[in-house]
Amino acid sequence: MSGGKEKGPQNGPEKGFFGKVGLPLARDYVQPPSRRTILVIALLAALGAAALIAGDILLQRGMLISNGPLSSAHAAFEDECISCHTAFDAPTDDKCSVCHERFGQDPGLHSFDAHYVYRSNDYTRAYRRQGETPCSGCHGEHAGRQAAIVSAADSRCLPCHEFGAFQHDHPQFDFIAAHIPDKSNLVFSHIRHVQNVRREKTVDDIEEACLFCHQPQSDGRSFRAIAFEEHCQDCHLGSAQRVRTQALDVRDQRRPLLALRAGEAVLNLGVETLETVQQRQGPGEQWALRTSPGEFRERAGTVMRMRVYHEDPWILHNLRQLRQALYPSAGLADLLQSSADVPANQAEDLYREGVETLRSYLQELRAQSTDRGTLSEVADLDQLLTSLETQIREGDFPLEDAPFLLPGRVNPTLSSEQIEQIEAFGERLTEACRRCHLIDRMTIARVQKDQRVLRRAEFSHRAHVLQRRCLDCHTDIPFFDYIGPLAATADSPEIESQVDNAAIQNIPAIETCQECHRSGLVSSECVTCHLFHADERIRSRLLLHPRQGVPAGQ
Amino acid sequence: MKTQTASTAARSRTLLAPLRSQRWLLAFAAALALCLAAVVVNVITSDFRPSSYWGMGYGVCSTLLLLAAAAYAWRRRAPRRGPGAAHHWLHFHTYGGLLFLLLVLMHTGFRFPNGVLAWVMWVLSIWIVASGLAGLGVQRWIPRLLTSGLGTEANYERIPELVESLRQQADSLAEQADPAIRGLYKSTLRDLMAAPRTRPIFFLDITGGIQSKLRQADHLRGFLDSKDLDDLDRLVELYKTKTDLDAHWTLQKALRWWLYAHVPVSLTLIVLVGFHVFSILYY
Amino acid sequence: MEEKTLFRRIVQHRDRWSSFGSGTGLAWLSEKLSAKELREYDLFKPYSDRFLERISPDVTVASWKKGAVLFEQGSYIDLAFFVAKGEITLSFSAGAGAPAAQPIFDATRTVARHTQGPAPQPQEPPEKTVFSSRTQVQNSNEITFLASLDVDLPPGDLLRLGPGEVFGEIGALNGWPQSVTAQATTDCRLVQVRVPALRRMRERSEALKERLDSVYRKRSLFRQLKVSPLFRSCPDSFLVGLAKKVDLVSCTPEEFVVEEGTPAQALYLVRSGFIKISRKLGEGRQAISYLSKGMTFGEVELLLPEEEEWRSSYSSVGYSELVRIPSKDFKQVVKDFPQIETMLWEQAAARIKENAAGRRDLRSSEFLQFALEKGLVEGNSVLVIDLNHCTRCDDCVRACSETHGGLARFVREGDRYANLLIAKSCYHCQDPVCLIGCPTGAIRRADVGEVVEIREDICIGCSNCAQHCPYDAIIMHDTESTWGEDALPKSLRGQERLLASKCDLCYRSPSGPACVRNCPQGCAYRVGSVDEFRQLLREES
Repeated sequence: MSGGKEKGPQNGPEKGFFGKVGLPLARDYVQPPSRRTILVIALLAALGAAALIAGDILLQRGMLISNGPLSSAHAAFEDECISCHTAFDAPTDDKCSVCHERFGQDPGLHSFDAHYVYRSNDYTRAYRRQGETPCSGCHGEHAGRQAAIVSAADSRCLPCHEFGAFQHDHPQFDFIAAHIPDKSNLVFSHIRHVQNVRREKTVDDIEEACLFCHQPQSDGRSFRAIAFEEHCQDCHLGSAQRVRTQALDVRDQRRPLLALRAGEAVLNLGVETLETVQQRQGPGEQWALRTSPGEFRERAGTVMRMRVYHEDPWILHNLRQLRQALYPSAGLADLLQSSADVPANQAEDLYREGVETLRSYLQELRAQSTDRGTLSEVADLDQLLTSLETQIREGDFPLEDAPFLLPGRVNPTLSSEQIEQIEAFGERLTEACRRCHLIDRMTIARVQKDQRVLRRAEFSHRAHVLQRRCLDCHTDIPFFDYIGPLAATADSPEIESQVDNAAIQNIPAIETCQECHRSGLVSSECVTCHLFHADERIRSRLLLHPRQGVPAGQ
Repeated sequence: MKTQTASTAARSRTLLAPLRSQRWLLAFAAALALCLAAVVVNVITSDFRPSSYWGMGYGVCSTLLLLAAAAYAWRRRAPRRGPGAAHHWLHFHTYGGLLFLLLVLMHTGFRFPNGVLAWVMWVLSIWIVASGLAGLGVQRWIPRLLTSGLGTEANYERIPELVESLRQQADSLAEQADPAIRGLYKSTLRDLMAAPRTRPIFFLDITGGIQSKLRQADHLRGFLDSKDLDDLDRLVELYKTKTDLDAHWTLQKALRWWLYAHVPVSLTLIVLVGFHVFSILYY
Repeated sequence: MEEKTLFRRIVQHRDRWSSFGSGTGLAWLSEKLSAKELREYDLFKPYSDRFLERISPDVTVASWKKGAVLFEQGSYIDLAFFVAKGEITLSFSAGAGAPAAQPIFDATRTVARHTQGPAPQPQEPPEKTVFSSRTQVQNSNEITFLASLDVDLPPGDLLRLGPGEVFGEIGALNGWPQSVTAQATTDCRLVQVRVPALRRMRERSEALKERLDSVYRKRSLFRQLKVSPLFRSCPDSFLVGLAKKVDLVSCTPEEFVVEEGTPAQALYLVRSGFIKISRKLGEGRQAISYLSKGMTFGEVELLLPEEEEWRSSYSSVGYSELVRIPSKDFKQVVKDFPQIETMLWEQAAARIKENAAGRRDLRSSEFLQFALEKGLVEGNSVLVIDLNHCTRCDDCVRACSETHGGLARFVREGDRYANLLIAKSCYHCQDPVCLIGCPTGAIRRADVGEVVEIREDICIGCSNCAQHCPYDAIIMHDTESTWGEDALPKSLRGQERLLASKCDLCYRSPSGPACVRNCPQGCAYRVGSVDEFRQLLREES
């Protein structure tokens, strides 16, 4: 103590003793009791914490260990750590699979190929491969009772998939970005159809008119495929409007359509009559037996089909013969009703259709034949087709190497006049078809019936149609430019000239989606559209095909 | 003597350097910037949650910082062996502690954690840093208060003895003084001088409102002769010194006692963090 | 028993001289000498038996081998050597000319360390080695010195000393580091007298004082005059003459050199110690300023014709040594050397201005008074704590205690000036009065720099040093043990064993004083001068 006026004990007579107070103080001074007290309290507190932990462990409550309550679905396991955890390891996927794997599910269903797939019946995939994400990698637990364990945040996807937020960094839809050609292959005008529907059904609203053809499926997600019998037949080729062909030349039945004589092609251009086919009874020609000769009218070496049906077998039969003359190396398309220039992801269906056709040929053979040898060969072929079907189903065949169409090389022996003659004859033959269909290389172009264009994402119309009108998003066809109120409608020549060929481009670009799907508004997470473990029923092709891998940047 | 001034100034600047060290502040700012950059990169490239590699990195860093900051307690208790000057350690302790809290918050993704243990650790972390900052404030404020406001300086441990000696002096003084002074002493001052007193008033008023206490003494002055006045003055002087000691007693107690809010909690947190680390490794 | 006691006595005697016993150069060291034995030497003849018995612990006779180095330039020793037999040479050792800065904590040099070989050449003219030992301070926390110039020795030359000569006393008496290296050129016998004894002997004997003064005059004065700024330009011949005419004055603490109002008859040059300048103010004296080594006073009074009397009082703060130049000689100087007059006029003007300012500025005067009273001017290393930042955690004391085996060597209390607390810790004074009266020599300048330390193994706990310390910086620790049956002196036996302890600046530790190093707030400082203290005040306010 110093500085003050107070004359304290330090000014006592003795020097050298911390004043008068003496030495015992010096020890207290150096090690004051408060230092010890604080240590004792600290140790007690630490011991208390340790005791709490020990109690928690001994009582197996896991209250302290648990990193938070489990989600509602797993709440029953709250106290049973071992149902998921094992010592010194992260929760393994087989722990999940104890409950979550059911037999009979499509094994490839659950995930991207690059992610871990637990397949109970695929032993090669029983364990997670290096770099694959375990279940717990996306479905984090202990995030609270109300936490949504099913949903996965974008941040789980984005480390590998190099996208940013949906509203600005998502790539454009493929069919828009890559200008995938619109091959609906129909000659069609939405405007004209809408106008007609409105008039016939006296519907004022355009969007109501849409629904006469675009009928929602029961789940409301998408629409039933447009089918001729359902949607077109009432107006086209129906009993009300009998359509006939031109009078077509009947060719010499004794000679083939195309013959080679001294290296020169000799044409015998004309159609085969029904009788000729009936007499021949070749494979795939059963239709002839079911066709009435009364539908034909023969006059002066020509024949006229008095009533044309959809997928008319007689016309297709003669068209095939023309095709075989023009393109001798016929491909798979020979087995199909129409050409098969379709996107690769629909190729599987075409193969199936081809196999079906072959199988129907085999059945015809079996029905006609009694010969044991033939029958056994038929059985062998049937087996072959079955294995082929399996291969198709498992994607185990080289799609790229298999052309569906004719190779496009015209028969080299034909002269250009002959080619023109054949093509002109083909046009005459298919005159009725060509009102709606396109003919390409002597085949009827296949109509795209699958209207779903999002291949990697799920889209539900039902969720959208409640809040948006059809034409809010489908804006490419300018209905409103031509269609006014029903009462005031007068068909203008412009409407007649509007042909949109049922353009797929009527699908909106991604910017339309981004108007609503953005932060602060409608959910814009990855899993909103890209379902990870998709249900089989609504399964979307998240990738083009496994073999093709993930396209760069997708 | 004049020739010394320049070099002395330079030396004094180095003497005072630790107090105004910009270097620690710069280092802290750099660390903050680093953390911010880490958060930005993390948010862009990856998930911002405790169990990601980023989050684990924050966790590991904050654990190391916690231990390093706690090592200051060890350093204080090992003045001889401990490396480095203590004020550097304190700087590290302060800035490291702040950084620790930041890393803890980054570890939890700036969210409130779910688990009971995590919740407790989160709260304790905030408590520790808050109490540390409070202590820092106390350490900045009270010494100035004591130094500028009081003429006396006293060692905390010695105050009881000093007070006792003051009381004895006052007792003997009052014994031989005028009865009026004795009466005053016995009625008001003696109880006040009996022992060191903790009075929160010193935080607000360093004089402890001494003037109002001495009003009676002033009143008494009119009735005393010069010898008695001297006695009264000495008595008042003793009482003033005692009040100063009370101020020291109160304020230095605050300087010591805030540690009770800081140190035990820190040790508890270290134990819990140890368990946390174990359970993370185990599960 | 008797034999054992004798042995103890010898050991004890040897211990106190052991700083010289470790080297190879020391051939023999006398035991404690009786008065009779001492009288064999001329030096001790004038003194009484009783006196000689009292000082005999501080006296020894030693034989040194040829070539032994007694002390090296820059080292602190607290004893004077009288040559009884043989020859000693004094010389500048290597690097002497270069500012012989000797950082205290790096120095490992000990007094008796033997660096062999002939005395090397000085490397710089001695003008660079300034008179004051403390005029240059390196810009670091380390305490550094310049060897003061005790011996007037031309560069490259050796000074040979034969029987009857004395050396080392100037540094010892003034607390300065030695300016030369002393080496025995033949086998020789030396009488070694420690400072306390030397001081007492000088007080008792006019003859010894004169002898020491004459040695000083002969060896050092010329050089000191020569390097003082005042006479730098004077020719040597003149200075030689002047050196013969001046008086040497020694002052004891508080002694007035001149008093205000008495006739001014001389110019004074401060050789060592501090001189306080004060003026009457009211009933007392107000400190105006102070003078340290190398400074002069009296020029104002002598130069101004109307100033016949001292304008201020000049008093010695502690022990001090001055050179007095009578007014007659001074006037001669002024007449012969006009440039000196100019210089003096300038100094005088500055002094008048400074004094006037000092008188007006109560704060500065208060501070000076404080600094002089509390010995800040004395201190080489004063522990100062900034209370504005100190959290009173006592880590400094704890660190001290830890470093020194559980016994703290200071307390965090002491005198306070503004926000600065001068802890009760050793100042390591330039003139350590605590050295006086230690019966065993346990307290001494350490082998390194300016550190004053107490050797615990020799201390008998008599507390003389604690009584002598003006700043109450020495603590008597109760070791909680008693002296053994063979303790000496006998009166100690069975008594409680006390131990004097004081700050040793932790000079054995490479990281410096533990108190400073362990202050968490960084508010403990070691302050080496008043100016540094003032600087600290300024920066903290």
